[in-house]
Parts: sequence; structure tokens; C-alpha cells
Amino acid sequence: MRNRTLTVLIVGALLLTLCQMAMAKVYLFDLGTDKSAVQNGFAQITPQTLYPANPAGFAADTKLQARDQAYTQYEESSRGKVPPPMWTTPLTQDGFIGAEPAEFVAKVEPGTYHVWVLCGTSTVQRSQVFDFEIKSPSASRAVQFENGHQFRDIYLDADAANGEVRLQFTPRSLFAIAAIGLWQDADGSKVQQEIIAPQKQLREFLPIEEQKKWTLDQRPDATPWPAISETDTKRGYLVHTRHWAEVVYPDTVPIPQEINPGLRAFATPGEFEPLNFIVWPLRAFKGAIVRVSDLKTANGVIPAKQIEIRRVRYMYAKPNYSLLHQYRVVPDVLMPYDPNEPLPEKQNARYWLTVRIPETAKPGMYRGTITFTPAGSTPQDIPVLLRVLPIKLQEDPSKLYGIYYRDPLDDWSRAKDDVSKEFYLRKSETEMQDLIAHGTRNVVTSLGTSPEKPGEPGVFAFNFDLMQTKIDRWRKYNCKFPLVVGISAGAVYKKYTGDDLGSHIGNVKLPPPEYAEELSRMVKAIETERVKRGWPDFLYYPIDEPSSKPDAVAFMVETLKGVRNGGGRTYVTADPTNEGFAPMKPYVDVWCTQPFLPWRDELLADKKAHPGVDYWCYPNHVSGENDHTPVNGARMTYGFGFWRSGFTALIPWIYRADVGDPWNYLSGSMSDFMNRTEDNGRPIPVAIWEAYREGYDDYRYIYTLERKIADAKARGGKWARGAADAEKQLKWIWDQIRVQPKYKYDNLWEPREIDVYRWLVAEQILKLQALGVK
Amino acid sequence: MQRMFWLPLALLTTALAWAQPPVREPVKEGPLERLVLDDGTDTEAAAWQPAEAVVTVDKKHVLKGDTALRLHIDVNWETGEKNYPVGWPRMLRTFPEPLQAWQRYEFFEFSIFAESSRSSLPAEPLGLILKGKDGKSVYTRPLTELQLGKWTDYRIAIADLPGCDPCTGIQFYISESNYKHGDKLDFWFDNMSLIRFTQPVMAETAMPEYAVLGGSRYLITTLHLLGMKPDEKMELVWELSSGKHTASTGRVNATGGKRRYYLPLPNRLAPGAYELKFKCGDQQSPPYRVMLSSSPWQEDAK
Repeated sequence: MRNRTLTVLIVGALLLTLCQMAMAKVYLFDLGTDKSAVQNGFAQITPQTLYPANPAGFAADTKLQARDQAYTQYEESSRGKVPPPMWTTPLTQDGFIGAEPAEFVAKVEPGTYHVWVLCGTSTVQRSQVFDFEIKSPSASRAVQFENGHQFRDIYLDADAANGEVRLQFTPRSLFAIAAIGLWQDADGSKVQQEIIAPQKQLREFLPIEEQKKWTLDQRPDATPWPAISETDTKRGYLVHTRHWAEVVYPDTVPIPQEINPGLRAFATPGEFEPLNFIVWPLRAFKGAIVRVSDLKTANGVIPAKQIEIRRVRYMYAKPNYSLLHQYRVVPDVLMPYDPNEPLPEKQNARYWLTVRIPETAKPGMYRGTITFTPAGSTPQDIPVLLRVLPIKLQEDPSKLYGIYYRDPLDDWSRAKDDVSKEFYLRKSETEMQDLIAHGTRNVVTSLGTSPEKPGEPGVFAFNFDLMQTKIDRWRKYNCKFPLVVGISAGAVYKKYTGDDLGSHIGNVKLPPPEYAEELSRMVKAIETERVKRGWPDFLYYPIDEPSSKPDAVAFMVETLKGVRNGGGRTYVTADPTNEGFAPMKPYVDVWCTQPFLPWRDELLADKKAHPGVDYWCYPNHVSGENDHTPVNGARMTYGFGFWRSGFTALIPWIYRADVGDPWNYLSGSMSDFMNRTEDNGRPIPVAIWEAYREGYDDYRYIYTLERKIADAKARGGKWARGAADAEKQLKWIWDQIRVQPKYKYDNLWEPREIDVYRWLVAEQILKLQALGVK
Repeated sequence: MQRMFWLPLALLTTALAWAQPPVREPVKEGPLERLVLDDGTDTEAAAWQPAEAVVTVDKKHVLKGDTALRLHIDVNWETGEKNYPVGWPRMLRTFPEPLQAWQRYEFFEFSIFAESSRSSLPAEPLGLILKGKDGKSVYTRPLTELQLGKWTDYRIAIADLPGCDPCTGIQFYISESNYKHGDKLDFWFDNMSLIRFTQPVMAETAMPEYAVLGGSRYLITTLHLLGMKPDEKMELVWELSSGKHTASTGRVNATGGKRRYYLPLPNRLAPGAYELKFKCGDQQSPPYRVMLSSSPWQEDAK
């Protein structure tokens, strides 16, 4: 993960390409147009390179679209020059896309070959799923991934006893391929190390020249190393752990007391609870098997299948989402467990386990074992102790956990083929299940349209049926409302002024009155349909993060009036403590702010004085605007901090933001953020997303206790005395919170300290339940 | 004639703006060494680059010496930078090389006095930015503690400023959107300096972990030890007690700077309130509260 390693790999690759001729049994093909650059050491294959007229190529009647899109320069944007959505090499800048079966044939020395197909395209492919099969006479591989700007390395074997390698590409939707490599056993490791690995590194990091502009903004861990036992030295690894919310970097030094750990947790039926262990390999391992046993107590079992195993992936990340030329190597994505994933020498490998406690689990101490066995070494057993508490957590109905969301149903509506449509429907289902499993029951959506045509007032081109599909889905999953709905204020503004609104409406001018009148008709049209279809309440979101410049505020006032006149309620992402926004106040129904400001007392007083006005929070400091590591801050924001704030809703940006290549955070106009996606469309969580859930659970413990206190008080007598004790404890916890507008890194409780406060709340619930409070 | 009058003044202003004031030598103050970054003199005031603001030397509010630096801002939502009329009036000081080696010190200190035409300050009245290598902003802090009519003292641990290596500049700014058009603001700055202890001192012990789960094998504490050489170690004795009863004790070989330590705890420690103290020779830390809860995993808790 370091520059020097990468440079060595790259130089190696260049040397290799120079002595390609010495590798008699390696055949390398760069697919693409006849005008685009060709990777050194590769033979160019264009749609006109036909077989058998040439030593390798496709059949004469094959329908191939050659696509070429190089990204080697910074691009202009509203924020100045920004990196392109991906950085290309001659190999990745071009390739073929095909909608019909195609066969590639290469004349080779007879023998058995290993095949590498670089699949993907650098071109923009919005709402497109590539789904195809690659088949040789002896093997086949299914390939699936969505959109452009990304690549996959696919391997299979091919028998070429007759001196020909034949590869068939059979699309279910489309196929996209950029390069093919063929080699025999003897050259395998060389090709991997010197050709394929450097290409992969370049895709995940930066081109060599670009690397010179970027500096590693990270200090090595200088903590003295604890003694490593003889046993650990002999077997080549040691196992340790940290609280899951602590950030473990590749070089984080273990805590002596956490070496050879046992893992412990407590939870309630229906809850998800994270556990983790970390391996420090003293030498490299090719892979490792992690096995989890059932967790058992005297009268119950939590089956092993309830425990999901993942491994933390380090990513190159910017210190903030748009900052350039500095990067860090941060633990972020919780990848599906792969026993064949190597463990590099002296780099922490963290395994993240999530136990899903069955709703029917009986209370008790559950014990089990995790067995970690690296390839070529001896196993280690890690004992697990999980206490299941006899508590049914309750959710505060007055609070709302929402999130900004790029809905796969929008891709579904845009997709051109059935395979892609089916993929996005499935993706929408699995993401919604994931949202619900993390306590999120509300998403930000939009209803876009072009403005009215001349002579047709009140006629807009909304896709209400798509909105119906979305609302049906959200209702199926018991989502909570109102819905924040973005509308096309920008398009209407442009119609009347000829200008774009620009970023945060910084350069806006007051439009003619017709602008607000049309906006009113737009909202009225939506409201009419909403009522007709029995949809939930909407909050209209015409502009994102308006500037507080006087012109912008004057424009906002007209815009909000327009929405109100159309019968809509308004939602504004602005800080009401900013005095520049004062003229907007009479027209705002929901203020959504980044920090927990105004402070609780001020906020509650304002809500009392202005019934109907509400305060929501979009805490981007623990979502899309950081270096992906404020995990503890995210938990604090979602749990104890939210409880203390007085805010009604949390609605951060964003569940998943992909900018260009979703596996390269340094490319693109800003960083990619939050959850990733498996090639099959299933979501891959990041650590911060798991922290949201733990914060959500913290709040559920608190709310459950609050309910029990209220019930016990109402019953009087010994119950009321129990309630008083519990209330005192809860007040004490309230007083321990170091109240902040933004819980991110500084002055937080230690990660494991939050568990103590959760446990203190749980203890009080148990005490009240022991008194008979239901 | 008018032009001739302005020319020498402009030349003088330019010369002052470019002239760096002489760099002071560090001075000893008891156990401290202090390097004054700005003492509110004329030449130092001229070394600041104000934008949409005026920087002068002033005697109205002074904490040390005869003068302090004064930043005056007339909040104006209609002027300033073309694209940002509601902008960020500010003053920036770029340091000469001898003042950039902040990592040799332990704290950055300064004090600010605030006055305004307003009756109260907004939640974020003033901001601080520190510049690192190549002038990049590496640290930002809203100075929310400021109050009208009072000196507010700041002491920021250099250990919390890893990006300030070197520190090439410092900037104070307001966001005009936090104020009303027409507001008048004055901030006086004094005692702007870097300090370090010249002898090992257990001057500050942070205790981030207050609540601990019963059964925990260790207690997390962060120690910030001052005045120590790079390889120097200080042996601290720690004691965890409950009333007059010592529950546990041990030693820590601590190094300088701000670091986390894991103090081992005995197996069967009763839940309750404890006190943690550190001693080193005749130095003793204040007592820190530690609350040990019951253990969720006690067998009898089934």
C-alpha cells in the first residue's frame, strides 16, 4: 500500500514489457480502436483484426463496438480542476462492447493455457449492467458488474492442444472487454507480478506521474511493540483485537492485554452485534480460513449461519471528500469473507463478524469458538462469549432515521435491457433490506420534470408511476414519513433567466415573478397527485445548501413562497443560527443542519413558539465529508448525541456515492463514499455504516428505558421507586455526555466507554423488568 | 500633487507589509521557555496581511506589554471579493523559517479580547486556521469560547497539531454570514507565543476513560508529559483506590508527548467509584474519577 512498493512494481512491469520476447509462451492482446494507444508489450486487436487472417482476432461477422475514452488529464469543473472519473492506461482506455456472442481465437504453441480477461470499460455506461459468460473449451466464468469506469480481472484455463485458444463471449445483456492474456504455468507468477498486479495497482491508486503530486498524510504508529511469544513467532502470526469502533490501520500496534483475546458482547433478540479480531502476520500468507461455531447456552443455540464474516479493506482516501494531493490509507470497506485473500506480511488484517441474534433467542450466556487457520500454519481458537439479554428494544416513534439515497429504481427506470432492469430491481430490494436492518426508515427522493411548455400551464412531465413504485417499496418495508422530495427549481429558473443556478446558488439573481408562479403550479400538480394516490406527506426540497448571500436569500424567499403557495411544506438545508437566513424563517417548515445547532434549549423553545417548524440534522462530518474514519463519532452522533440534541431526524448524505470508479476514492471530482456494492448488486457495508446501527441501538436502549420508567411511574408504589432509581441513573448518563455540535473525533467517550453506558441503561431496564414492569 | 502625496505612503506601506519583524529569542519564564510569535508591535502588525479588515497596534486592551494587535472588521455584505460579498474578512501572518518549527514546542498560546456593536457574539464568532507545508490549511478551530468584553485565553497542545510540521502561517477570520450587515467588530490579540517546559513535568494528565465495564483487563489513559527529551522516559507510579483502600497500583515508563497507556486491572475488582492518581517524585496528578460498572458477563448475571 505504499508508494515505494508500487513504484517497484511499475518499474518491474516496464522491464518485463521490454523483455516480452524472451517469454515465448505469453500472449498479450490490447483490444480497442485502431487509433488508441497500445500497451507496451501487447499486440493490438481492433474490430478489423480478424482471425484466421491474423495470428489472433475475432471472426469476420462478429459485431463489436470499439470504444475509446482516455482519462489522463485533470478536468474542468465548477470547483476548478479535478481528477478524471478514473485514470486510464493504454490497456484500459479502450476495448470492445458486444451485445451478441463473439469468439476470440489466438494461434499459440500447443499446450494448456491460463487466461486473463480484463473486463470493463472506461466509457460512461449509466444504468447498464454487463452480464456475460466467458467460455473456453475447458472452463467458463460468469461475469457481472454495473456501469463504466471500472474493471475486473477474470481468470480461467484454456486447452489449446491443437494450437488455438478459443474464447467465447456470450452476453446476457452486454459484454465489455479490454485485454486478454494467455500464458503457461512457468510464466504464471511473472505475469501476475509484472503485468496484472501493476495494472490493478494503477486502477486502485494513481498513475506514476500523478503520484508525485500526492503526499501520504499519515504518521506511522510509534507505539512500542509488545513482546511477541515464541508460539506466535513460530507459527508466523499473532491475533489481537480492539473495540470495533477503534480505527485499526495497517500498522496499528496491538494492546498487550488484547493479544490472544476472547471476544465478548451483549445484545438483545433481533439485534445485530459486531465482534472482531485482528491478525498481525509475521510473514505473508496466501489466505486464511475463518470458521465460526454455533453459539450455545444450556437451552439455546445461535447457529453459526447467523454470524456474518467480513474482512476490512484498506482504501486510499483523501483527508476530506474534495481535498486533493493528500491521501491516507484507511480501513473502510467490510468486504465479504474470501478464504483466498492473501494476508500481507506485517499489515493488520481485521476480520469483522456481525452476529444477528434471532428474535426467538432465549436469554443466557452463549459460548462458541472462532477458528482462524492461515494457509500453511497452525490454527488459533478464539473463544466467544455472548450474553443475550431478555429485553425487547423499542424504537422512539417521534424520531426519524433517514438518509440521502441514490435509488436503484431510478436506474431500473432508465435501463435499456431486461437483465439490467432485473439487476436494479434486485439491488433496490437488497439495499432496502440493508437500510431497514440498520434502522434507517426514510430516504431522500426527487420528482424531476422539465418546465411547462408555452400555453400549457400546470402541465408537467413527472414520472408518477416511478414514484408509485418507490413508495410501494418503502411501504412494503414500513418506512416512516414525511418524504423529502427534490423538485426541479433549477430548470424553472433557467427557463426564466437563461442561467444555471450554479453551486449553492452563489450567483443567483432574482427571477421574474413567473418563476415562483410556475413553481407553485409544479408543487400543486404534485400535491394533487399525492392526495389522489394516497401517498404520504412530502417536504419540498427545491434547493440544496443555499448560500447566505443577500441575493441568494432573496431568491430562496421567493422559491419557498412559491412552494408554499402550491400547497407544499418546505425543507431547507441551511443553518438557522446563521443570521443571513433570517428572512427565510417564515417560510421554512423543516431546517436541516449539519451540526446539532441550535442548541437543545433554543431549539425546543423555537419549536414551542412556532408549531409545525422542525429541526433535522444531516451529519456529513460522519458520513460523506471526512477520511472515512470517524467511526466512534458516527456512533455517538446516532445514539447518545442524538438523544441529547433535541433534533427530530438524522438524515446524512449519503448511503452510497459512486464517483467514477467506485473502488478508487482518489479519482473523480470528489471522493466515493459510504457503502459499496458487490458485483451481484448486494450492498457491502463500511465501518461507519455499522456504527450508525450501533448508535441507533444505543438510542433504542435509552428509549426502552424511558418507556419502562414512564410505565413504572404510572403504576406508583415500588414501581415508582424503581422508576426514580432508573431515572436518576439515566440523568447521570445524560450529564456525562460531552455535548458538541459535531461528534467526530475530539473529546468523545472512548469507543468501549459507550458500551458501558449502554450496559448501565440495560441494567436499569432489567431491574424494572424484575419488578414486573412490562 | 495628490498623487505625489500617496506615492511615498504606498511605498512605505508596501515596505512594511513585506518586512518581517525581527525574530525574538526564546525567553525563560520559570520552568517554561517562551517564544513570542507576535507582541503587538508596529512592525509585527505590518507583517499581517489583512483582507476586508484592518490590523493595527492598539493600547485599549492589553494583556502583556504596552500594546496589542487589533483586528477591526466592518461587516459588509455588499463589498469584498466579487464572488463572495458575504465573505471571510481575515488576517494572515506567514512565518519566517525560524518561527516555523512548532514541533519543538508543547503549546501554542494566545489571548483574545472581543468588542462589538452587537449585544452578543454568534455561536462561531471567530476562526483560527494554521498553515502547514506549502501554506496548506492543516488545522481549523472555531473560537466559540470568545465573549464580549473579556479576555479569553487559549492554550492548544502542539501534540494535537501533527500537520503543523512546519507551521508556516496563522490566520484569524470571521464568516460574515454569521453576522449582520453593518456589524462592527474589534478583536485584540496578545500573548501569541509558543511555550515548552524545560524540565520533565507531569503538567497535564488527560483521562479519557471514565466509565469501565466490570471485568475489563485494563484502563485506558492518555498521558501528556512535558519538558522531556526525545528518548527520555519518566517512571510514573499509578494508584487506583476506593476510599482508603488501594485497589491496584503499578508503574508506567512514559515518554514525552501525548500517548495512550493501558494500565492493567486486577481480575476481581468490585463495581463502584474509584480514584486514579499518578505520582512521579514529588509531583502528583490530581485524582481522576473512574466508575467501574458490573460485568455483563458475570456467571451470576445469567
